[in-house]
Amino acid sequence: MSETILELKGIRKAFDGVSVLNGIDLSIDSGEFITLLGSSGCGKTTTLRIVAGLEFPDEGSVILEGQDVTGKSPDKRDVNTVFQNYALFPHMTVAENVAYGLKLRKVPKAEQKKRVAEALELVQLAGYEKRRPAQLSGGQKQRVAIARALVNNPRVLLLDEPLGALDLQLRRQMQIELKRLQKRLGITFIYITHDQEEALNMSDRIAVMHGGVFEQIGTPDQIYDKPRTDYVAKFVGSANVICGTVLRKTGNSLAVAAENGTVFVKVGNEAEYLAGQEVRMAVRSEKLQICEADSEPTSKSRRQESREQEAAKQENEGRGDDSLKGFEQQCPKTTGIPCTVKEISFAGGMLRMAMETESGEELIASRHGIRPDQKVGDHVLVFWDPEAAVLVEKSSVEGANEK
Amino acid sequence: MRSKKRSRVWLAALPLYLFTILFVAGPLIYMVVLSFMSKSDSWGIEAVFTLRNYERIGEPVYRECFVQSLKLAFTTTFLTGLIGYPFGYFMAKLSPSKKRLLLLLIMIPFWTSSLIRLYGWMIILQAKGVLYQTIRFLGFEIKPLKLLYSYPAVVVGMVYALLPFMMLAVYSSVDKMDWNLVEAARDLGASAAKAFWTVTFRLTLPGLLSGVILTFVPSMGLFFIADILGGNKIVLVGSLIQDQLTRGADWPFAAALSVVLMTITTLLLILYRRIANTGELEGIV
Ligand SMILES: Nc1ncnc2c1ncn2[C@@H]1O[C@H](COP(=O)(O)OP(=O)(O)OP(=O)(O)O)[C@@H](O)[C@H]1O
Ligand SMILES: [Mg+2]
Repeated sequence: MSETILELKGIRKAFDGVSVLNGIDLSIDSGEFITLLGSSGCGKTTTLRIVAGLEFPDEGSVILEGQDVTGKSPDKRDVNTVFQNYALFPHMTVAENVAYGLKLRKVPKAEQKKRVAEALELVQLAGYEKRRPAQLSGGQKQRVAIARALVNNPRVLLLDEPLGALDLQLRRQMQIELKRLQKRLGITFIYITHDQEEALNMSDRIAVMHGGVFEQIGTPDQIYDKPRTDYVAKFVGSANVICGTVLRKTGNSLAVAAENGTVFVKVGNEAEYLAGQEVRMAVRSEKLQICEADSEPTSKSRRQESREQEAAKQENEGRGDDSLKGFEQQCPKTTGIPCTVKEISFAGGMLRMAMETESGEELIASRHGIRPDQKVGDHVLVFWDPEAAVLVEKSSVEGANEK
Repeated sequence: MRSKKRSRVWLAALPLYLFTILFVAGPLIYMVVLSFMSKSDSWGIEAVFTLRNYERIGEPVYRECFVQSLKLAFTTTFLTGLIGYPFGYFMAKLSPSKKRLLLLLIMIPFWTSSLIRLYGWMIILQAKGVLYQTIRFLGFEIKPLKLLYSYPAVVVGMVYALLPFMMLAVYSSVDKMDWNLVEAARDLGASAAKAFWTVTFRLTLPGLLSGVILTFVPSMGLFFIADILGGNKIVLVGSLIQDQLTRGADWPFAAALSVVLMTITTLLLILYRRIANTGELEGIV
């Protein structure tokens, strides 16, 4: 079942001298559901168009079922596309639109009719056969576009944000339908979405795209829990990324000096780090913990000192230094990064708190509940469970074309 | 409230109604009435009802005139479409700056009188004219041309005069074309030709159709081209009418000819609309 169906090798593409794809390598197994995830303008649609044959790469090759189809026209590839802008034929009815591919393939009339009906049933548009695209809502058009591509039962189906125009409920429903169908028919899906949740829910694998390259390709779990780069961590997990320098490693705990504080990250036992080495940590906003900073104003040097002590203590896994008692009770595991609360807002039952470190970096914390313990202007310490943080690399791309 | 609004709309449209009644409906009715009157010997019209004018049109000479006019109009329209469609199509696919240049080139001839441009064609088509010279220059030994004052010369002149309308009509509809649709067709398995036929051509048909109307209707009446380039061999209804109005001084007969000409044109347009009417053409034809 897991033979390779599609391979992209070193694909490069530039428009008017502006490079959009900078070496895309991807190998997709038959029956796989792979999602291209990335911000607007990063080259997702362009990649899809190259697979479909609507655009030709400047460099690299497209291998479909073992055959090099790089220069072949779209009608010579067993690939169908659900276009981002639907591209329904305005002079044909819904049924004629869906039947278009079947008609070209000279499928017998009776079978055409049956398959069109099935496809429309699937996208919940039975009864709309006679309508014209102009008489449909955006979401309905989108579903006709899905039916029109799906009805041909292609080897690979390319879907460019196919659920973008649907309301949440219908979108959920269609997600489940599409996934089920994909499993049942064994069609390979290459799926584009902006919606991380959709990507995480539906995909076998996710390819996170950024500035015309893949930052990371992996299962949803890998992408979510072990982001490779700061970009992936930010884009998929909406994580905070904090830079720092290694202080020391004890067992599987790495102490890092960052933003005038000391924080800890859990790392592998074997991994080696040198003191002074620069690292980046990603911590998701819901993993950030917050406590009040010392209520009485302390001089910077004293804070520094206590942090050193704290770090030392962490190392010994021992606790109970008298001088830090009050602090200790609130922040039991680590010392933290001193911050000032800048903004508190609520969204979807979540409390969101934006804080600023002493060097001006922004950290975002979020948690359930709506009543904040802090108020704007409060001085706080931000810390986290060492297991909640991961080390990430710096993305090699400096936000190219993205907006 | 509502009726007030409606009356105000009516009021705003009043000048339009007046204009239509005065300059369109009035003359038309006058013409129809005139066509049933008889000619008086002394340069005038007698208000005596007669069907004689219409009976005369049935005479072979005049009937032949109508047949020839229709034939020329069809030929002209067909050739104009054949040349104009691809031209308009490719023009719409050019880069914006080239488009503008081409549009300008199409417009420039309109700055001179069409009559003068027709004399230009005479110079080209003459027995030893520009065309003849050019062919000779290219090294072909030919006899002096017999093109001028022939049917082909008239067709050339008509196509030349009406081509811009066809090109612009096609151009404007191809220019509005959503090329994503062609991509979608290709993606669904259509060859380039099939995609053109099932999508591009179908969607630009309204342009072609309005081009056809813009060509066909005038070509029924453009008599001076036939007069100039066809000598007196080709007599079209248009020139017949003009002749009756001036030299013949038979206004009722001229009116009858006009009524029949208009009826034929209108009937053809209605028929054409029927054939072409597939929903999305509404408002264009
Ligand atoms: N035909 C073209 N000519 C010039 N530039 C293009 C063309 N097509 C795409 N681009 C550019 O290539 C870049 C990538 O475009 P692409 O459509 O692949 O983005 P995307 O990832 O699909 O974005 P979105 O999520 O907004 O759809 C953009 O900066 C875009 O402006
Ligand atoms: Mg896109």
